Amino acid sequence: MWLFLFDRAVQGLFALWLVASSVFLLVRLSGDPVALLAGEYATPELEAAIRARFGLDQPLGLQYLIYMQRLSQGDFGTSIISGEPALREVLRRWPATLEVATMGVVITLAFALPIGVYAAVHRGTVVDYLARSFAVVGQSVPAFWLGLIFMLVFAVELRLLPAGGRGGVQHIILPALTTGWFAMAGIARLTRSSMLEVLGSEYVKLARAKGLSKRTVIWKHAFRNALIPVVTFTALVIVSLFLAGSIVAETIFSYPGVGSLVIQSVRLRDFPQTQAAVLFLSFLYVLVNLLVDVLYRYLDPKIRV
Amino acid sequence: MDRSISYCLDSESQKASRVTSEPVLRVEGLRMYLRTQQGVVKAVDDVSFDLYPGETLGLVGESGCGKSMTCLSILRLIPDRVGEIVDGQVLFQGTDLLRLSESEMRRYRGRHIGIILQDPMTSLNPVLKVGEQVAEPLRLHQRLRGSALWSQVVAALRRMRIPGPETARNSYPHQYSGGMRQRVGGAIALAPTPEVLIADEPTTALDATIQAQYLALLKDLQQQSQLAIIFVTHDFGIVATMCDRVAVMYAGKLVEIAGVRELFFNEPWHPYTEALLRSVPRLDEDVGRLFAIEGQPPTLHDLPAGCSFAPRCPYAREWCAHKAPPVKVGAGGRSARCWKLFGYGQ
Amino acid sequence: MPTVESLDKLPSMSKVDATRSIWLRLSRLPAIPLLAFGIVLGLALLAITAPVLAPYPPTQHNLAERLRPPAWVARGSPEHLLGTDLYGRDVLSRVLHGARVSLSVAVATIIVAGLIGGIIGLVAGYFGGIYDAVLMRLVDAFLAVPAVLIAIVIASTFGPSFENVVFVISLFYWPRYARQIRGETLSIKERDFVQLARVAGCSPLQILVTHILPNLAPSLTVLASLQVGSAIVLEATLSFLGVGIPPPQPAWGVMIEDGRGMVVSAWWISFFPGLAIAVTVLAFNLMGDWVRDRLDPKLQGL
Repeated sequence: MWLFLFDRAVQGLFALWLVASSVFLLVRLSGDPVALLAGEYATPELEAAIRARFGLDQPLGLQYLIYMQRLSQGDFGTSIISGEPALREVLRRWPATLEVATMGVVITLAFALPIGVYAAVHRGTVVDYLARSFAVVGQSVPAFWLGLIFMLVFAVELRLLPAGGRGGVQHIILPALTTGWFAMAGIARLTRSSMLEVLGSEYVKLARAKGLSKRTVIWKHAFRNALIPVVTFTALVIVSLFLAGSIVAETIFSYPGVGSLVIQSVRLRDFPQTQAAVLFLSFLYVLVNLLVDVLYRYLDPKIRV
Repeated sequence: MDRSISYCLDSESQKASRVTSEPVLRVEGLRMYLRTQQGVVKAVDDVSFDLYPGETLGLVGESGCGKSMTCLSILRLIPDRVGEIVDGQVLFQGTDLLRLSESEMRRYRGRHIGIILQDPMTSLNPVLKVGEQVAEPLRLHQRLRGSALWSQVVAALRRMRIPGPETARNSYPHQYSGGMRQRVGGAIALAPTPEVLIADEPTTALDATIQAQYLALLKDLQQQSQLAIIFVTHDFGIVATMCDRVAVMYAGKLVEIAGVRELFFNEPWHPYTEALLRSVPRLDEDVGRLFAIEGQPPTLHDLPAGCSFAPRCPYAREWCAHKAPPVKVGAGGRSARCWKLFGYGQ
Repeated sequence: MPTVESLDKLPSMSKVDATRSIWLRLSRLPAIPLLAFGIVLGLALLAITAPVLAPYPPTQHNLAERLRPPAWVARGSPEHLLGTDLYGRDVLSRVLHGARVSLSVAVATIIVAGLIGGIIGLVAGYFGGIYDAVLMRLVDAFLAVPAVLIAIVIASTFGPSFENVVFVISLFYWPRYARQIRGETLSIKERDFVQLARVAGCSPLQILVTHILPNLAPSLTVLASLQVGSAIVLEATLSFLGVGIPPPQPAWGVMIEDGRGMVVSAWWISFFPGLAIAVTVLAFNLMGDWVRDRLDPKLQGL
């Protein structure tokens, strides 16, 4: 178990290193790194300072070392717009992203798992058909478009929920729903098929033969087994929820998180800020990947014991 | 053959005093039909038998003849989508199980009628500990809790001769071999001390030596209580060692019931039973060619009219294909469905 | 000769059977996959003929006609069936041209990702050993890297463009192809006809091309048909965020972003391209499901 953790951690670090190095390469390849890092309106003094700080006149290898060293110290560059260390804004906005992502996960699982189980248990009925249709359509509709529709319907027409901004729980719901939408469909589908398989197994038959109630058989015996293959898929999907999902949702609903910061800084051509946000999100991505992997191993006793 | 009969004779004489006149389980006219894409299939067709306390009834037949379906029907474990019991009675100590509500039926499952399934590798839940799986019926039916519960669990595991029962309780199924898992299956079924045990080919998936051990264990446990066992198998060797009476099924119908001794000593009544017995090769005979029953078992949605066995029966006459044979009942409850016993309808 | 008892003798059975058989027959109709196929073909046709079919050039401004709603709403006109946007560009024409963009991105991505992933998967699977270990580590690393973020970085350093989009999306998909193909290659490698070819002295290249590749075709097809849908959504998302196809090109994602600010007053600008994406992806997904069920039901996990 610990060996596995170590192996996964190493993999994660490698991935992070890959991202950081790619960013480094891309900047150097763009032709004019100084312009990227200092901005269009930089004074000659600023440009000189940037050059010195990142060693842009030095040979590439040395530059790379400087870059890596600065990264490990938390120096992600200075935002062109605000003049502050780029990481600071990221850290300031990070809780907002966490809110949306967490709520997204909660809503997704709270709907998707029961829908999948219900559809499997009541296979062949209208409910099952509806659930499956929902899943197929859900995976086809682009989340950002759906987010706009949600905004139109719930915020503008029905005036049930706010159209944007951060505030109380009601502000988190629509962005969370938008983020989790695609995952909800996929998880529901997978849960259904996994449940179907498990419901036909011999140990479920034996559980019924013991006289256990239908609810106990479904949730204690079948569901726990059906969950195992679902978890890996859920992990992969939830991780992308953190990124593409929150970037999109935060942008649509003007939610001040790291996701919208990324887009904002790209539009404003504030490359250091973009870099900081991107690297931060990558780190999160890898971390969550790792955590979920561990959870998966924990659920399956064959691997845990 | 002789050795197995004398074994039977011994236990027969042992049991003579124990057999009471009241059956613990009486199945009467049980019919269960399956829904398939090709139509309705009579998986269990007018099956009737009695089961007495302390005896072992063998249920034999080829694959697909309805043995397992009968057992599942008794426990009402056939899902609605798959099939339905359309007729009959299943009387457990006088109560008709088929007329009970689902929640009433659940009180019988696992508590009064236990079941051991065929494949030990798939019949235990992989994510639950062994102890928990044994504890479930005890917790549910006898409402045991805490140390009372767990001491019973350990006792049940010990009765099935599982080594280290205290630690076994915290282990997972995948840590055990097939033979051990089947013992766990036995512990689960027998922990609540049921009156009836349905054993659905419990040793088919086990090695020969493990098989013998398991059967001996079951026999021991039975002798300590008045446990009645329905033993489903396709192996006549097991029938000879384990069973007191045997019921033979073909194409969903019960074609013969007889005492094991009668079957082996006197001639079987039904041609199918006779053919089955002949196909078991004897070690002390030198046969040039193994005997096999001609033809194939019928597909259940395309049954012939009249006697289902007629197309393959060496004794069949024209009359057999026209009308289904009635049941001839003899001494001691011995019965069979065959026109031969009635002079072919004359 | 009576075979099955007539159903009237079993009232409980016949009632349930009647309702169930309706569902059974409905679900077995090939209607849905056929419809999906039809839509996909229609889309391909539309994409190819868009320049001819579209009533207006997609980037033509017409300020006099700006912000016209669709024809069936008040103020709408039959000249612009789906309305116009802020610059007077005809929404219908842009949606049609958008089909070209989306489908060409999808096709290009599949080719590039398929080629790269395919070759790597084949090499890793066939030669095994150190090649396998190294290449699979690489695949895992790429899978762990978030594609959207890389897309954003690339777009912000090099600017958004068609080529960049294809590059990024291929980057996202090639590890999945590689994994799948490696697995398949491993199992095909062990089959008898491959062993025979090796004994006969065929060179690895010969074996790969003549024996293994044709057997990979089914799962490659399944994978491709399942990926098209998500590739289109990914491209639209990137375009929407401003890091995909650059405006003023009529990519569906770009159109949705264009209309975002006016979604309350001029909903049609964002609505129709989104609807187009939904229908397209739905059709591809349904078709992909059907293809998968026919060719290899084991892949249901995908």
